[in-house]
Parts: sequence; C-alpha cells; structure tokens
Amino acid sequence: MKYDEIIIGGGLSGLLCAISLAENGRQCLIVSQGQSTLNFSSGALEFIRTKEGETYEQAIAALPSDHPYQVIGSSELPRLREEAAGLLRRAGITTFCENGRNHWRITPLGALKQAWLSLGEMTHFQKEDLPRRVLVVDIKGYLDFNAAFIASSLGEMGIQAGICELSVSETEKLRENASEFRSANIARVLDGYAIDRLAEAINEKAADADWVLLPAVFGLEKEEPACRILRKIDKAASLIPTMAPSVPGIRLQRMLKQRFLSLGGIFVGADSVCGGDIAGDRLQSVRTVNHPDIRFEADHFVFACGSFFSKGLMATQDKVYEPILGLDVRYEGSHGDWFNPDVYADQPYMSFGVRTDRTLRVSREGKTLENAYAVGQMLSGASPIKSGCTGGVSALSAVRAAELILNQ
Amino acid sequence: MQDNNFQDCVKCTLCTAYCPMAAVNPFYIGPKQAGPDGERYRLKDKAFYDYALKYCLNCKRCESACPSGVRIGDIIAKAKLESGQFRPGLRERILANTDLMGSLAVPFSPIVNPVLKLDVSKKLMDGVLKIDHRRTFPAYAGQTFKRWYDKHAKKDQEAFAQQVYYFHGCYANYNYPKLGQDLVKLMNACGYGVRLLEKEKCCGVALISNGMGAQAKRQAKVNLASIRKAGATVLTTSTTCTMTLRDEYPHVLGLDNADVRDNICLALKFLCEKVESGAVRLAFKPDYQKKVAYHTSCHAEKQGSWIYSLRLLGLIPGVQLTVMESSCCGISGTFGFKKENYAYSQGIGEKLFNNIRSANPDYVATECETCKWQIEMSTGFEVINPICLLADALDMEATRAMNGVR
Repeated sequence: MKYDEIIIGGGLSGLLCAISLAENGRQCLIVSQGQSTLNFSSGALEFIRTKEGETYEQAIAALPSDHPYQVIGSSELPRLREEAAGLLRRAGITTFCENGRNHWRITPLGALKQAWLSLGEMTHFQKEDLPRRVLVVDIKGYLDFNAAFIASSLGEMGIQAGICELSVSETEKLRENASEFRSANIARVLDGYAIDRLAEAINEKAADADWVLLPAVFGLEKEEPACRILRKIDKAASLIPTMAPSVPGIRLQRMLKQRFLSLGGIFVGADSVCGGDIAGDRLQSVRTVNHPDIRFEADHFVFACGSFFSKGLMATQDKVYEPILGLDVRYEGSHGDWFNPDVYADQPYMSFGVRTDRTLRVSREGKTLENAYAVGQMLSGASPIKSGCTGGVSALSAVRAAELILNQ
Repeated sequence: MQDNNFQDCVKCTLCTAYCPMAAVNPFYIGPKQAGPDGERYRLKDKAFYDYALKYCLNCKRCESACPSGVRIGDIIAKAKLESGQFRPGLRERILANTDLMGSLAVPFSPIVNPVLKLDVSKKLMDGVLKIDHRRTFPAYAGQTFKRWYDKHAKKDQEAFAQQVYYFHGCYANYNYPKLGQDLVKLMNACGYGVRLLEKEKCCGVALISNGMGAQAKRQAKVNLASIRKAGATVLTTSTTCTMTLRDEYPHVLGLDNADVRDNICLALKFLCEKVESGAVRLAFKPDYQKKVAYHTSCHAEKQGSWIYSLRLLGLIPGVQLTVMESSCCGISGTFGFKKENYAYSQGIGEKLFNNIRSANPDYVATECETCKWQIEMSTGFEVINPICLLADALDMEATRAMNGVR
C-alpha cells in the first residue's frame, strides 16, 4: 500500500507533521499505537524557559549544540513557531500566545510555569498583571485537583486566594460511582444546563473576587462547554489543568485528528509499526502488528514515536534503543549513570534519543536514511524538564520535518 | 506470571475516558477498574467487580486507546467467563445459540419473521424473556446460504485454478445469504473457487459474552479442526467472526491457533491485496452512482481492517464516500437486545446515528452484521457489507474477462 508519507505516531508531533503535509495535498498515513501523551497535556505548550529579562534568542543560544533547536537552527525557530500556531488555529483550536515572549500558567499543584502557547480557556498571564483577589473553585469530591495547593501558592505571592467547593446535582450523582470520579467522567455530565447552574453557584461565591479559577473539566469533545462556563461567570475566569487524564488534552487530540481526517488523512489508531525494509539509503516500507504481511510504502517516513512512555525509545539494563528499526540512538555511560538520585534534578536519560542530521534525518549503523525523519520527544539532546521545551520541540520539529519534505 | 498482561497497566485511565459504555453509564466503573485493576484483586477472589463485568460491550475500544498495549477487553471477557456468576438463563441461551435458533427458524421463516414483528410477540418476549420490545429482530432467510451453495454453486467451484475457503458465519447463513452469494460471485469473477469448511459452527462470540464458555470452546475446536483440515486461506465477511477466530480463541478461550491464525482472513483484505498487487483486476459498471457513508465497526477499528474497505470502495468511480467518525453503534451483538441495556445501547449509538443522518447516504457500509441491525433500526438507512456493495458495482462480465475466467 503506497502513501506519499507515513507518520509513525499520532501524538502532537505526528499529527502536526501530518496535518502540515496534508494541507499541502499529500496523502498521509498515521499509524498510532493507542492514544498518545497529548491526552495528559497541560493545555499549554512550552517553547523555552527564559530567565527574568532574557529573550528567547538568548535562552536558545545557551542550549547545548545537540539540542533539537540548535540542530534545526535558531534562525528557523520564529517562523516555525508561527507555522505551528497557525496549524492549531486552522484546526479550530483557540489559542493564546504573545509575540516573542512567554506567559505564565498555573499547574495542577499550584506551581507557576512558563508557556509559549496556551489553549484559550487555560490560565495565561504576566505576573505583574495578576489580580489581587482570587477564588479557586473545586468540584466537591474531586480528587485530581487541589484547590488548597493552588490557593497557598498564590498566597505566597501576596495574592488573597479563597477556596470554595461546589457541586451540581449531576456531579453529586456521579459520585455514586465508587471509583471513577475523574476529569473525563465529570466533563461528560457537565452539559449546558449543569454548567449554567454551576456558574450561578460560582457567581454567588465570587462577589469579592477579581479572578475565578476552576479545574479544566469542561469540553471533552469541543471547546463550547469550556467557553460557556467562562462566559457565564461574571468575573474574569480561567481553567487550570487537572491530574490525568486531561480534558483539554483529550480535546486537543481529537480536534487535531479530526483536522487530519478532514484533509483526507488516514489514521490507523490501534496498531504499531514493528519493522521496515531498507534498501540502500532509503526506507522502502514498514510493517505493522495488525498487517504483518502488508508493506506500507511511502516516499518519506516520519518517526514521531515519543519517548520512553510511548515506547519510541526503550531501554534494557545495558542499552537504550529505538525498537522499530534500531535507529542510531545517543546515550551515555552505563545504567547507573542514566539517573540522578535527586528526582527533582535534571535526569540524564531524558536527553537520550534518536540522533539526526541537521535536516532531522535519522541514521542506522552510522548511515543516514535519506527519506526517514525523526521528530518530537524521541529526538536526542533535549532535556525537556530542565529547559522547559517539551511542546516546542514536538511542535517545531514536526513542522520543520514537514517543510523539509515539502521542499524536496 | 499471568497469561494476560494486566501488569503493564500504568493506571492512566484513558481506557475509561474512551469507553463507550462509561460515556453513557456513569455508574460503570470502567475498563481500567473492571479489567487490569480488578485483575489484581481477582487473583485473591474471583468475585471482585463481578457486578460490573456485565456492562462490558467487548468492543475493545479500551484496547484501541491503551497507550501501554494492555489487553483490557480480553481480561474482562475472561474474568466474566471464569467468575461463575454469569449463569446463562433462557434468554441468554436463546440469544447466544445463533446456530440452533437459525436452524429452527429458517424452515419456518415465512411464519417466524412476521410473528417476530408482531407487537404481541414483542410484548411477550419483553415480559417473559426481558428482550426489549423496541428491538427489531433480523429477519430469517427462506433458505440458508449453505443450502443455496450446495444447490447452486458447489458444482462450479472445482473449475477454478485457485481455491479459497469461506467461513460464512451465522448471519450470512441464516439471515442474509445474499452476502455469501455475493462473495462467491465476486471471488469467482476474480478467478477463485470458493469452498466451504467441512464443518462450521458459530464462531462463539455471543456464547463468550453470555457466559457459555464451555460451549464456545467446543464450537471453537470444531472450527479450528476444519480450518486446519482446509490448510488454505479461509475468508470471512464479518469483522467480529474474524476477531473471534483469530484473537479471542487464544486470548479468551485459551485455544492455540498460531498454526492457522494467518490463514483466517477478511475477504476484503484478501481482495484488496490481490487488487493492489495486480493479481486481480476489477471492472466497474460505468453508470453506478452511490453516496456511501462508511462506519468503522469496533472490531474493524481494533483489527485495523477498515483500511482495506476504504481502499476498495475508493476504487469504485461512482461512489462518493464519507467516512463516519469511528464510534460504537451501541448494540454489541446480543447486549442491546436485553431490556436492561436498551437505553445504554441507543445512547451509545446516538452520535453515530446523527452523523449518518447528516451524511444522508444511499447506503451505510460496514462489515459488522449487528451494527447493520442497529443502524437500520435506529436511522432507517440501509446498511450494506462492502462485499455486497462491490458486487453491486462490479461489471461481473468484464471482471471475469479481465481475470481470464470463462
């Protein structure tokens, strides 16, 4: 079976790459091994963490030379950011980003983190603009969101933050389920009327607040319920991501997939690529677990398989490897050197990944494959937690690979 | 170590987020809890989470969603068989014994079909058997596919140089022989003779979901023996039969089929491969014009077999194809027939029904027979197996000529 491009992996990087190609008329196949980590997304993408007063350019310049941003070339990045944001917008996703600088967001545990691009409904602010009086609303009985942590974290910054726990009959009824009072289940029962009643209850409590913060449990399939609750609250209001699964993340996955399908893309969602045929310096075809006897052929292949969780990279006691083709992987030292005993410290294994040349092409046994690219979290050189670059590496490398393929 | 992989679960709950039953039944604990989580407790006592297992549709959408490759649906199906709490009643025996009911009903179909349609029969079945009165039973055929084959097709098959076998399944045999007939015509036009297995029993999917594991195993052994004896490709036309024969036999019934698993092949896949490799050529009627909405059944999603249907349907020049967002229709075999499940069943399917209504097609195409009943009953649109659609659209004469069939 022949396609123009085959993308292995249906998460953020795979989808953005494929959408970008499909927008340019290419017939693309995505093979995805179950759902991706996009389903756990915070609803925000980081580009690079910047220090006080630092520009993006300065922060990028300080990255190691094998960081994907350096590999791509720092001069390409502003254009790629624009293009990635455009891809999201054209998929109907409402986003917020500022030209050339980070904004701040609040994490489920109340920490403040920088972001380059946030979904419209999520918190996004500059610290100096933070309101003085905040009300953090929790859903009664919901355990994957901690209003007290968030309030105390805001309190440390001198903000007066109150908490209130609210419920509507729909969420109370749902609590009868002994085990699953989770974000996705809650989002399902909060339809139009329930949201209006919840907003009324919030408005009663929020008389003294300038800003209302709520868990992101609105709008599993479309944005409308999230927009609706924010609109119905009299005060300024934003959503904060919850612990997994992520409602905005599930929606993001869904909307990107829908966009890809609407452009004529083929998305195989319950299969995994298990091997391929290489002839000379070209990858000719790949095989999958469900269709072991079929050769899926393409002009170009994009590996967007994610990192260790997604099994784009795998490790044994003595090596780190890429399981599909045994692509060249960068890792150092022996097992004991891969980890830092301080869990909060930079972990060496996080920067392990697939090596590429400057055009993101992968290699095997030292020989570059002319038509196979790697993008996203499987790339080596990024230390996402240290540099704050997770979403940016995924989105920008994906767009870059698509651009390189289209320019050929 | 267990013979399933429940220990690979990382508790991310994406299975529950994507479970069609959890979406309409907020009290269902969901696949994670009923499956891999519950499995840890069941090692101590089989009775854990018993009450929840009956809600599982066996749609496998949890497995399709799982990032860690856990066979969640298999774990639940097995737990259900092993728990000992699902003693099948008369209703379960009637619904799950498709072979027996089909054999009894076909000879009397002129009486059975109208009787099944009567309000009074529906009320009676609802009251006595708790089979929901709103449900429409699929009509029985006047003659089984097997009988038609023996009378009209068998003698011609030896003439073909290439031979395949056909596992027709209960639906093609008792309810809709046209599907089997179309398959035979189609394969013949492509240069293949079609044989039937020496003995064929219902694949057993309904027995598995209704707690009749021992009978399912007996039937599976008969089928596997016949498939082994055939020693050649065995084509199927139902995605669910295919999944049961290939995957449920080893995973749920514990029967090793590794030596013949690759021989069992959805006819659409077989044909697609032959067409794409150039071994088979198809000629279509020039004036065939249809608007088709393709529905990806749950088991087509799980097996990835929809890709072959789309490629074949895409070859028909006059077909305007719209692909529905892949979602469960809600019937799940016998599940939706049960009175207590009717509302869940229709609730699950609602999104799909609305999508079909807005597509407003001439046909809905899908490879699953129970999806067909559900969609036809719930939307009024005619549902057709892609095999029948291909047979309709083909210029059989020209196709025969192109494949060198006299």
